[in-house]
Amino acid sequence: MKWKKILLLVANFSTTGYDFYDSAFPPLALEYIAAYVEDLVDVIIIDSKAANLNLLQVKKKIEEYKPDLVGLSVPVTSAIELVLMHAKVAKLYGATTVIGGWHPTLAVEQTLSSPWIDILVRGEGEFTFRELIEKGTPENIDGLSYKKNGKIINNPDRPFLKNLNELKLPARHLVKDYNYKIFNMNCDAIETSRGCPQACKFCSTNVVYGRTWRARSVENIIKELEVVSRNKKVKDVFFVDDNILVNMQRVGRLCLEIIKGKRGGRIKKNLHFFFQGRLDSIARRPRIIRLMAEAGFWLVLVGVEATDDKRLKFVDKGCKMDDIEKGIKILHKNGIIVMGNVILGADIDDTLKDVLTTINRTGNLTLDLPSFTLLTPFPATGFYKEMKEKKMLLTEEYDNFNWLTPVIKTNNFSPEILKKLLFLGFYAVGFYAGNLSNKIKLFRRTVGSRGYSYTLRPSRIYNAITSYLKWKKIVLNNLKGIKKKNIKQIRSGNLNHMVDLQTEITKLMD
Amino acid sequence: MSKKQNPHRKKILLIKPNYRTIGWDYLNMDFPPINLSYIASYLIDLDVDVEILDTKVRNLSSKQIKKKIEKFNPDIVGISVFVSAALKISIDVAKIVKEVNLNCFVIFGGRHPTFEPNSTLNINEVDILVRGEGELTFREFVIKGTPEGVEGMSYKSNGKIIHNPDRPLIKDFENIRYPARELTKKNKYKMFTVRLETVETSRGCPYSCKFCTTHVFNNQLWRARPIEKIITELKLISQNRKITDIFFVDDNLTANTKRIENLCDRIIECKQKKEINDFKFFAQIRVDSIVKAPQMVKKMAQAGFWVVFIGIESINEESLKETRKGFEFKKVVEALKILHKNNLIVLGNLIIGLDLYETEEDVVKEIKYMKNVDVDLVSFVILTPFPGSVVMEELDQQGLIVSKEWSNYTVFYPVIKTHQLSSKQLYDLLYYSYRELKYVNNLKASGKRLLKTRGLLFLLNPRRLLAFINSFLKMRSLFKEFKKS
Repeated sequence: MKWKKILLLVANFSTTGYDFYDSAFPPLALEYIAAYVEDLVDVIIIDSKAANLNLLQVKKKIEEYKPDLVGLSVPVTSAIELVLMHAKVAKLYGATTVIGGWHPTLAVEQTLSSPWIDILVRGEGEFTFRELIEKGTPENIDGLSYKKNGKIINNPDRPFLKNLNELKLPARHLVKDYNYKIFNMNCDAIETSRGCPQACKFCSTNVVYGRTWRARSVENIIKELEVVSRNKKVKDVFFVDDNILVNMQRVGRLCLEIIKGKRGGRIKKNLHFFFQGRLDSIARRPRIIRLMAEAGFWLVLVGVEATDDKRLKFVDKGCKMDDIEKGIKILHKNGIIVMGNVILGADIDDTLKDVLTTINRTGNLTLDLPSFTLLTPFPATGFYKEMKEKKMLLTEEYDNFNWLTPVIKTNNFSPEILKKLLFLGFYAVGFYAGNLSNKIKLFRRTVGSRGYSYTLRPSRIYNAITSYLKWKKIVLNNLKGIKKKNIKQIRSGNLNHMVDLQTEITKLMD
Repeated sequence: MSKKQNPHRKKILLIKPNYRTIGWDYLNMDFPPINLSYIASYLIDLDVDVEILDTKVRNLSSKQIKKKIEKFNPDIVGISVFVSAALKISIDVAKIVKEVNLNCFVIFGGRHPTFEPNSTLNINEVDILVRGEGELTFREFVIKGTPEGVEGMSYKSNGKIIHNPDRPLIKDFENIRYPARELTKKNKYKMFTVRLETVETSRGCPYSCKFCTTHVFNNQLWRARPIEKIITELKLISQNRKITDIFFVDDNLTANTKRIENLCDRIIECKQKKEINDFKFFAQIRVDSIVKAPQMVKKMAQAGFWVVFIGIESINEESLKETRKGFEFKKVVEALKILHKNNLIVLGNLIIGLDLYETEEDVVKEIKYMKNVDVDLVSFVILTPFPGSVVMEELDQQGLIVSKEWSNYTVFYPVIKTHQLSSKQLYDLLYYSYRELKYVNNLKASGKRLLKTRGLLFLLNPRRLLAFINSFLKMRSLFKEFKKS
């Protein structure tokens, strides 16, 4: 075997928007990869995000461990530059560098053109990577791209794994020294399905998986939850699935099994779950959502994306406003906290009035933790190609593809104004939901699902205050140039009361 | 050629088993075996003797059945297994046939054998199965004298089960023969003291409710007969002046609302010309077609419709969607308004356990809610997975079927459990629903409607009153049984 010591590396990336909440999730992708090679070679995972290491510290770690191969994953497109810097460190040290993830899969040539990358894993990495380690050469291994004499060679695609139940469990023991947190609580992650049958314009899941959806069986998931349950520290589990609610029957049975497992003591009683879900699936099966709440699902991340049917259609979300309102109501009825995201400028033709209306409507949706993003096309999606053809792309630097920086031209706004409007949105609907009654409801829901000792924990309160201050600073920084008096108008929620604000922005636009 | 001249003519006996459903039998229902009449109509022109033996309307005991069979001494016996629960009693009949003549062919047909061919053929007494529509299959078998190569038949050969390929549905359905009613004309068929006949105007259903097998049986197709043929059939029935009621047995009578409007126009016309009796009709129809075509309902009422049976299934939007019923509950409310405006009496049915995730509170809420919905006669049944339905597949996969004893598949007995309700809870809820709904939902309004459609004399008929008391007592005793268990 050519490579005997393998280091899998997570870069210390930050996602501007979501880092308000100070969260670090386990590198499930690398844990899966590690599980498939740990019987062959020495393998460790260094998570520089969870440990908050800078490049120098990472370099030291590499020199300590002396790996002959370094694997890097690209968690989001905006992290690619940072990952490449880590690759440089590894390459200069003398190790072979292998990169994988969605972004490399979608932008193969571009990523491989970096001098610091030797081999690129496309698509699902478990078996591809194992074969690479076994053979010691990237030649003739399906799913790999690599450089030979300065030329890029793309091997054929590897077909998707048909039965996810055959997957080994992720190698969680390799990251047991790190603290993964959400809202200051220890968390773990689990994947129960891959892919998504939908094809939203802004999403790259359907490009990576080709609109397929494969799921693990309930028994298989329970087995993993029992393993997770053995870690005493973990209180929360994040279901990382792109779309866990495709088959609601499966979710229903999963919840029943979790409830049974909790009663039987096989799964910790105080284990709570959060997940990402589509509101139309939720609206379709309220009874299963009730069961989810009973099983311990307490927080959901939903994509609202737009606040009227026309814009929902423009982003191909595939659901109606009625579903969204109904879904939120059902979640709240069951005491589940709703984190929701709305795209500002979901239609390129949006006018100032449209954007302000969207912000208002978002405020009225009573999301517990609302957030805004900008319409961002990701490489290799149809939307990206369309934008590039029409020369609407403002930048091709992936650092900017962080949802908060305008990357496409809109017909009515300059990028600076659009960014201002985005933060105006954040200011209007506020951190932890808009008005006081919403905040009280959020507090009640948290108490309802997690209890007082969790909600009123000093470290959590401290955390909430610091992230609030952090958030406020960012928002106000970005709103510089607009009079404070006028900014406050947006909280009124009525377009007619925002005359000064509108005139000021119109002036800025000119 | 008369019978006596050919002593080797084959004798074919078609038997309807004496199967009684516990729930509905308090209404004393005896429908003509139109399924057997259809089969017979495709045999009578052959060189054979055909007879239909309806053991139900005559309420024959096994001894009497044996005597009848001995007297006729058939070469081929066809038994219709119209519901899964009737399988047991059908087997009893088959045993009697084999006792009389071991060499007699016993043929089973119907929905249950169609969807459970292997388990049904494994029964010793059953020689041959007819899968799907029986008319042409049975005819071909009688002509050939052997099941080999007859499409749509399954049979045993040297202990091995052989399934012939499926027979395509009857292509020329418009010209299907008239059912051979003359074979059953001696029997008096009644529903609650009213003499009636059954007519089939169409087959199949374009919808695909998960609990139903109609769309599977008919390949999702809906085929209708031309209106003139139906009118001719009504004229034929009118030869017997005593028959006052017609039951349209269609699974989905109103799939094409325009057709029903035309049919009603023709019926009204014929009634005026006194070409047909002053029939009253009842039928099963879908709620959404009522809302879609209120003018159809008006015409139906004018033509003589007085009772309609609708499947409400659930008041919960989620359950309705999950079971692919294809309409929302608010449509039911709308439909009820339209129906009652036309003085139609509405029987409605709901299913307990329809959604595998509904809790006891959900069902109790539903039952209480139904008290205030103006359906004249509400009935509740327990979700029952009939062979061939999507529900059967789903429940089987999730291990929720508790009993495969077909005689329990009466829809009034729990053979399943759901994710939230045990079998006992389902049974208790069914009992609770009947106790809560007190037989008739709104006696006063229903009585008024009855008066308007059938007249005072209909109500005051002493025989009818007696029958009413009788069925009331039957129902009471049924409840006592409920309570005991």
